[in-house]
Amino acid sequence: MILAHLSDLHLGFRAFERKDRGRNVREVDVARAFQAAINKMRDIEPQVVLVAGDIFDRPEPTQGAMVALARGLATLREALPDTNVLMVAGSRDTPHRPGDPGALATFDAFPGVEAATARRRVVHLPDLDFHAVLVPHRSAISNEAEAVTPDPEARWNVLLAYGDVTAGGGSGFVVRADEWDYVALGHRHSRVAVRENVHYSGSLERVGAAPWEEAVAEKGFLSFDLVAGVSTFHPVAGRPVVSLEPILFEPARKARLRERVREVLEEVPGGIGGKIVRLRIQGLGPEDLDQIQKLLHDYRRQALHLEVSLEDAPGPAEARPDEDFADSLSDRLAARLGTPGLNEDVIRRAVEDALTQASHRVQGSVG
Amino acid sequence: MIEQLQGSAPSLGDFRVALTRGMTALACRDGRSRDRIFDALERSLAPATDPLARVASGRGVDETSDGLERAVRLLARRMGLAEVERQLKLIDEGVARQGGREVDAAPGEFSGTLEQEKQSLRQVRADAAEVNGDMEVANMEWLRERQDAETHLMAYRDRARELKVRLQEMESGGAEAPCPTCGKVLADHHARVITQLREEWESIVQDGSWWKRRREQLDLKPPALQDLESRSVRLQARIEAYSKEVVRLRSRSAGSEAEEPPEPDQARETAHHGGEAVVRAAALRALRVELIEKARDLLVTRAGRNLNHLMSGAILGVVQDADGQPIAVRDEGPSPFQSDEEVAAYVLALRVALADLVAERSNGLSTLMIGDPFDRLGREAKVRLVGLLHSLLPRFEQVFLLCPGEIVDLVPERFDSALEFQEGSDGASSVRVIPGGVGRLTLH
Repeated sequence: MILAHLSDLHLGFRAFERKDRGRNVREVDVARAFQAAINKMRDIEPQVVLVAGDIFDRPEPTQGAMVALARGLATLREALPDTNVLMVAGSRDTPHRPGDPGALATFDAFPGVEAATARRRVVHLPDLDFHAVLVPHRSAISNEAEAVTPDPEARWNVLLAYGDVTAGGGSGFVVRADEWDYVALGHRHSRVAVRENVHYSGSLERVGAAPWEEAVAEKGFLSFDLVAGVSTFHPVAGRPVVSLEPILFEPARKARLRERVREVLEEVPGGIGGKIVRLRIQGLGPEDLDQIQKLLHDYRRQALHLEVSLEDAPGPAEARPDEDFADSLSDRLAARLGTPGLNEDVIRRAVEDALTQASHRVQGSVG
Repeated sequence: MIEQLQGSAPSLGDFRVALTRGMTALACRDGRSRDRIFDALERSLAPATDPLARVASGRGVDETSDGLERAVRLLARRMGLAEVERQLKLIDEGVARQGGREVDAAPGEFSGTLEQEKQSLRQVRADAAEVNGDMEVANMEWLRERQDAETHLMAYRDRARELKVRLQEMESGGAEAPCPTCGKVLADHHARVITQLREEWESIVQDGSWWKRRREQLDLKPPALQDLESRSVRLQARIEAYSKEVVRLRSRSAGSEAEEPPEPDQARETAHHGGEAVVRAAALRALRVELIEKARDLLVTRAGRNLNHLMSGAILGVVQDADGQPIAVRDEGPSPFQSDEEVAAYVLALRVALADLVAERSNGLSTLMIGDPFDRLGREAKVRLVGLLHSLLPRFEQVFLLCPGEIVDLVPERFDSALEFQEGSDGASSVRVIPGGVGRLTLH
């Protein structure tokens, strides 16, 4: 008895405004990843496919997203006609108007498909002696799902839910892991084995607002053998995301920055062509931005997207704002305005008094 | 922390709703109603003239160079400028009482060099920007209160007129007159209903009189606003005087460079030759300049970082051109903002930078409000701004985003709660609470 578990497809996801034959390139990438996952399932031959939410990127999906899902389900049905598909709506599939079930509800009418969009749903597949509880986002957030229980009469009990797992004692609905043969979760984009039988499969593509955070992790879906209790990861190739090590700008060696930028961009294995790349430069202030002028244009053309992130230089986190400034300021002003031994003390006192008093006033303020 | 939002808007009527911690979307499709919700939120925070309320709401921090200068002044005040100016004023008053020269030169008493007068001009311009900002806020507040009084007065008059007519009808109809609520003949209840109606009418006339007096009071500008206006005029005169002096010194300097000593430092001269009060004043004046410049550096850098993030790295940062106007830096070099979206992104980047920098230095700023021009951003920049605001939550107890609502569908997991304001079917407003975030499972 094999299950396939995937989540966070985000069909219809768009980013970076780059188009290929009129369609956003990332939207095409995401649809391709889903189709690739469906194609792999032909070999795995699962009896049940579980899709744990965020199937679309937004509650009013693009027509392309609807077509991609319909095409995937049709392919699956053609290849594996007896396979059941159970889906729950995630937060991205759920319109904020409570009476609106969202576009995913359309697919509930497809043969062999159960798509729970609002209320908790219990599904029983008698041929497989399989009992499943489907908890979509709207149900999870309203705590309607507080009492999800398995069916002790069923051979297999599976929970399919969208939400965030907290350690014991937190809020939300309670799941006793040992009562279920498998718990398929959606919401997190990274693959996480919470327990041996409780898993987040992660997204099929790097679709987060910060794809760099998912750059290293391999993307794909899981299958789970209920008899053996073993999960297997099936990778799905997506568009490469490269997060480069930060470059620290050295004010004493300004010209070095251009060399370093070229080095890091050209050292990317296989080049940056068609990839999503983040270049981080630390400590480069507005006055020195001309150091990278007319340098990036060609690189931007090669990459699908080159994100140049300018950040503050790393410093001690515990330093109070303006502390260094206040210390150095009285020295600088005394040096600039004072006559040694005569006015220097007056100046130093004036500066320190003013800043100390100001600090007391600010600390004491309540707005 | 703001615990309750209460107000009214033309298309919504009266509204009252509880607010929670975290990030809240206040969704309303009608732009004018959104403005009124924003006003109500700002009023709940503190008086609009409070500097921290202005930071939280971003009032006056707009796309102009004045907007940047106001932001610089607000930050510099949190860094100590207010205290420096207070101490300087005390010294000035002491010097003036002793018949000494005022530290702040009045027009006609110029004695500095070109560089000093340029610095003074910048200082007076910054003061003028701040006063103009305060004046704008006070003026808006006055107009809003006057409009509010007018609206209330009209409503009370209508109601009083309506009650008066009804009373006359009932009095003339006698015991056979119908009940105004259920339509049945009043009979024995006639006298009691008449009394109740008359009491209601009198109460409305009394309240209406209060609003009439209130409206009359507000016919004249409040003294605080008048004071700001006269300060603004005085500062404008000083700007003109300093500008003329700068032009005069510039032409003199160009004509006879040899006569002018190279970059003499008036403050240093004063510090060397003056008494302790004068030395102290010179130090504080130098400190004032340093604080403003430091605030400017911090703000321009942070706003540039934010803009770089919002525009997905297409804009590298922000600098000021020779006229003090903020401009974008791109791969090709500095150039003006090229679209409405870029201008909106810059304004929001600046507001967030200011609030963040002030909050780092103050325990009084725990709320951040973002409204217009959020709607002018593209989809990706909107999502990025919401992410940026979310990252500020450890520092701010509450972040409010006023928006038409589609962002709640785009990134619902980023909001702790969302409130949807809409006109009800009977004309009354309805505020619907949409639970935010994602569901939680506790695993045992």
